[in-house]
Amino acid sequence: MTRTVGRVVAVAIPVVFLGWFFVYPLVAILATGLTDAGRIDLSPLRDVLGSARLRGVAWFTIWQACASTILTLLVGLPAAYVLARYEFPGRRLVRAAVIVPFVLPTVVVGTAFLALLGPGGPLGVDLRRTVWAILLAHVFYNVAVVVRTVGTLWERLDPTLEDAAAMLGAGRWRAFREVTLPLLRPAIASAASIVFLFTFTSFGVILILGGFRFSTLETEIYTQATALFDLPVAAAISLLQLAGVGTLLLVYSRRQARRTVELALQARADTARRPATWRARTLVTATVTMLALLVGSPIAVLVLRSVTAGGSWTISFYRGLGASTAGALAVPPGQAIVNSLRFATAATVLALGIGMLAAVIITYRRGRLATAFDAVLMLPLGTSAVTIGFGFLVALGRPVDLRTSPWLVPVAHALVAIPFVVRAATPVMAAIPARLREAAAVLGAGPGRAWREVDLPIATRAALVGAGFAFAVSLGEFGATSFIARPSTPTLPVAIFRLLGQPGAATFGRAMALATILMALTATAIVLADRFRFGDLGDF
Amino acid sequence: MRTRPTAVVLAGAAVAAALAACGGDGATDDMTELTLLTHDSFAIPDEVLEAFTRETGVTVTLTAGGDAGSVLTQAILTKDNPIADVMFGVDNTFLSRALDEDIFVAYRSPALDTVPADLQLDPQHRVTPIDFGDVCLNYDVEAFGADLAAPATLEDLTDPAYRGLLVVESPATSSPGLAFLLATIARFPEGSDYPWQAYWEDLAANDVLVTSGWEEAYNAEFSGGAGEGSRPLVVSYASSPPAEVIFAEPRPETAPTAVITDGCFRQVEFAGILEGSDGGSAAEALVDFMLTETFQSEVALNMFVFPANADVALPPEFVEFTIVPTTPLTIDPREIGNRRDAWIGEWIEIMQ
Amino acid sequence: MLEVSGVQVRFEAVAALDGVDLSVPTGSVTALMGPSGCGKSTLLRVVAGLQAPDAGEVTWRGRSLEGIAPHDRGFGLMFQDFALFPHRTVGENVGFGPRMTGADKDVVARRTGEVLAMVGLVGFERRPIRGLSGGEQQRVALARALAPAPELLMLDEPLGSLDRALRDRLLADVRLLFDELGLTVVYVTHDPFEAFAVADRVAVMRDGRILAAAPPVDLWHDPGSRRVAELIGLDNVLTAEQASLLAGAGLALGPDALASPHVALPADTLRLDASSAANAVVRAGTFDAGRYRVAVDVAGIELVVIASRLPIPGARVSIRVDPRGVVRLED
Repeated sequence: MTRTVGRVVAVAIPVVFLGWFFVYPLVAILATGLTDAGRIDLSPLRDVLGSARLRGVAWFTIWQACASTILTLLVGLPAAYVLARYEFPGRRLVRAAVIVPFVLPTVVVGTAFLALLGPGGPLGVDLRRTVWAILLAHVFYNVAVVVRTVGTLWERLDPTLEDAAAMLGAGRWRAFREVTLPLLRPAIASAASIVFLFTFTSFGVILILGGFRFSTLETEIYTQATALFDLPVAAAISLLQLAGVGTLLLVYSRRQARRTVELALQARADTARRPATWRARTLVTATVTMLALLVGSPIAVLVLRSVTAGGSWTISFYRGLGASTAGALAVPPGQAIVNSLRFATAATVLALGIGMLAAVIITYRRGRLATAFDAVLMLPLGTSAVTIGFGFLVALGRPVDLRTSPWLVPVAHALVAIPFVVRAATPVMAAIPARLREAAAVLGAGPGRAWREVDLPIATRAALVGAGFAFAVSLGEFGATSFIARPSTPTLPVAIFRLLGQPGAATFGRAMALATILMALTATAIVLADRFRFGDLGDF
Repeated sequence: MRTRPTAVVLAGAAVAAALAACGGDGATDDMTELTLLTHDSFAIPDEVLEAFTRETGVTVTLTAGGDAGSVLTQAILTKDNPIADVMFGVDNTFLSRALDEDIFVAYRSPALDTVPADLQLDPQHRVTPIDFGDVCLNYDVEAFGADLAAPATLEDLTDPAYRGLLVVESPATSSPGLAFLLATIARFPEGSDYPWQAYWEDLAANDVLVTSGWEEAYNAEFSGGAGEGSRPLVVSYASSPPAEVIFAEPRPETAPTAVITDGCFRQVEFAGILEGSDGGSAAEALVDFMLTETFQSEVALNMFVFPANADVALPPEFVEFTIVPTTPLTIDPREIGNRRDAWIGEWIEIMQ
Repeated sequence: MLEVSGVQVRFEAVAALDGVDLSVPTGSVTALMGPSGCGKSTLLRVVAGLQAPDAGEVTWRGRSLEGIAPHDRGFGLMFQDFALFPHRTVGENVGFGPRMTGADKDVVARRTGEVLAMVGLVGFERRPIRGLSGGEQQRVALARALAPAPELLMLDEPLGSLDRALRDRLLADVRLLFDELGLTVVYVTHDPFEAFAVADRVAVMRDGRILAAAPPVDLWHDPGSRRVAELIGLDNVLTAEQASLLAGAGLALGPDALASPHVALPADTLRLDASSAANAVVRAGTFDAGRYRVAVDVAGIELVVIASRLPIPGARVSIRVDPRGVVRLED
């Protein structure tokens, strides 16, 4: 009896969380926008669909997201391979460093990219305010998703399968296509879906690097709602965005459910080796270099700017952070760091707990409901931050007024972070052979125990990858947070944003210094998380 | 699996309890706590608000919600169950919208006597002016001199001598950008011989660069001060040159940038008591407080705006390195409210 | 003809292969036998091209294989853990090799059917890999390795996980298959019984070296060294001292035996014989395919004897030895 109750509660928790903090606010804000004098008025929808300009905006949003996703996969897959299968000095650092972009507010990344892509930059050609600037920035931000999600599964694939293919006459590329790629497909699809959703709702990158000529559905919603105060149109665009994303996600979840394959998962220690041939060494070097250029150079620009002033080295900006400064930052940066860490920890714990429960539901309760649930889980990533933020305001006032609660920030972050945990954990969970659990059962472990002893350790490692993302996303979250009414506890991104909003060489330098601190904090946290072992199960 | 659900349920209950405890700020006793809703650029030191608490026994909690437009939208969305007692940050470019939505309670503060009449844009005192700033063209002092003098008027910007030297922000996504557009509309009225549409076409022909936001325009495209860019003319604030002096290490003798007083647009920032809150007299006291010397003397150096209270002196850097325009351009807030969408739309079409 | 000469492979400080020399004549079955960890699988990987040797050479038909990628060698390898592609059906697994040669669909399908019939899995084409029993998986793996008609077929513990009856049956089938197809086979196993049953030549391996290679009968009767004798499962390996003790107890082993450092007494050279002078005490007995292997104690030395009936443990019996069956060992 208690087991059933436990199961029901376990299923109820993610469902209730999503329902109360996402579906309900969403419906509320859309209803508010599309209601005129007490009645649902869908004419804004017609206006939006009828507008040629908005149709163009929708089209641009879709294709830039597709292009960004493909480009990110092209860069990320080789990197995932190299980091998963080869052992070389600095591997752990590289694997942690790729996630650092996640925490950087677009405002900061914007200045770095504008410097690199300008006529004075290393490329020599001016790519600012072109689509390429947008695409490159998207790859910069999102390559970590591919590297770490696909990489985690790739590490665990049995390399003898590729050997077997080779013995049957398949060359390296053919073996990859016929054997490895199909087995990696769940992880690749997971990563691609997240990257697509992220770039679909991309906001800061479009505005800053694309310039005023490019607009996506997300920037349109923002402009309509907060600059033109046209809520009905904003709501209509939001609804259409949701419909499009929702359909895509349903299709995606259905395909995922059908394709799961059980694998014999290996420990990384058994599959990774030092690069032995010159070919392998070249591949490793080339990949690491590419990552260093793509991800490292913008970061390097920021770090450089935090330690140079007028052509000479200085640490005055860092020292200035400690001093109380007249101006935008009325709260000391130390406080901002603490606030950021607090929110990030709360968000990560929430995301991990709810995300794991959700992953269990999706993996083990196959069926239409679970598929639909999977799609709804991902929706927050594809929903406009403006919509979610304002939705909270409209929905969460009664019965208990949560609208200015400090918990709203980690909740909002968790909504965006849960998909990461789920997407990181489910491919690995689904691949665990039932045989292992059966073996545990025969040895005397009941189903719950068997799951805990067998599946949980394996899945937890994967889930921790998702948790790493959750932490990084929360640390750097600025968009959704800025649309939520929150107590004035500025986080690092807000502090950085404020400093950048003030003219002056010192404030700019301090903003760069804070950004560097933010990056260092993140990299450290991720490296530590990567080393975390569940109990004493070695690599698992 | 059996222990997990229990643990999670307990955790969930704890979260719910914490939420319940933390929420409900709006329903507390109005005599001892006030919530002030502002935008992300609000930066008054805690000591100042603590002074208010010492005076009145009322603590002020700040709630921030994004930029000014986002904050206004939030206030509108929650008008039947407001999340704060007092709101700070409505400016004249969307004042009429705020007033139309009826979110404020009228209150005429006695401190208004110290505020010049041209700032009191609401005769019904539903909002009270607290500070003002002028959006002006800034120029890089080093880029201009004997060879090429800095432009003096808006018309100068269309002169081929200044081709490719100007960066502005889009009015659709940037507040100073909108202010500059309004300035040009005020200076080159529609229907005249040389309307603002023609002016912008000339600017476009003169290779003006448009960015989405002020940050990229000022930090990445502008060449003055710490800017990394190549263009010496930018739309910014009258308070930017003093900021360049105060926030440079080491502190320079002269400002690296300067203001062009022609074409400045006045932005006035207001505070108001939100309808439906139970702030009562405490809220009124807060509005009064915001016009006192204690508060007003902090706005210049912290938020880089000018105090509305005419009796409060400007900091020396402001006096030395910038000019408060005496005849800035303005447009009636009601007209802004009516025509803004159309103007922005038309501007986008011209500049695409 | 496959020639392996002087192949060395080192992993960190450990020598997995320490100078291996092996010849595999074309069309023959060579068993590679030894305890786990002796390097058998590594040697297979070197021949397959999956592992580059640190020293030494592998040639096929006189040509060196150095630098030739695994997929270009035309060799087949059946993996110890089968390595079946989990996302493909049985038919797709088996047809993989023929498909890689570019054969068209009908040819592939025909070949798949042929090979599946050979291993006794007719009609299994559409079955998914998941849900196959161990024996079925093994046969699919075998079929998959056979399907592309490799010039050299390597099998790594192909009958490892099967039950005894199935293994014996398959062993016979597999031997027939090799003969029919005229394949050159390297058959790796840890089980001497399998090695001897299936091979034309047995190579005994230990600690990365080949200790001996000879046809089964020759190897059985003349293993050469004590180590090899133990590895191939010869019973009753005795030191010279123990041999003289036994002789003293009445068990005449012959003059040559006493001159060798070690001798081995295959169990079937020892019998229970009431008329013999050698006395022994029974320790225990096990049933072994119709006979009994009885452990007895003679003068403090434990010997394994073949008997047609099981004596009671503790009983006193007499045993005799056929001196012609005594195997002399060189060290």
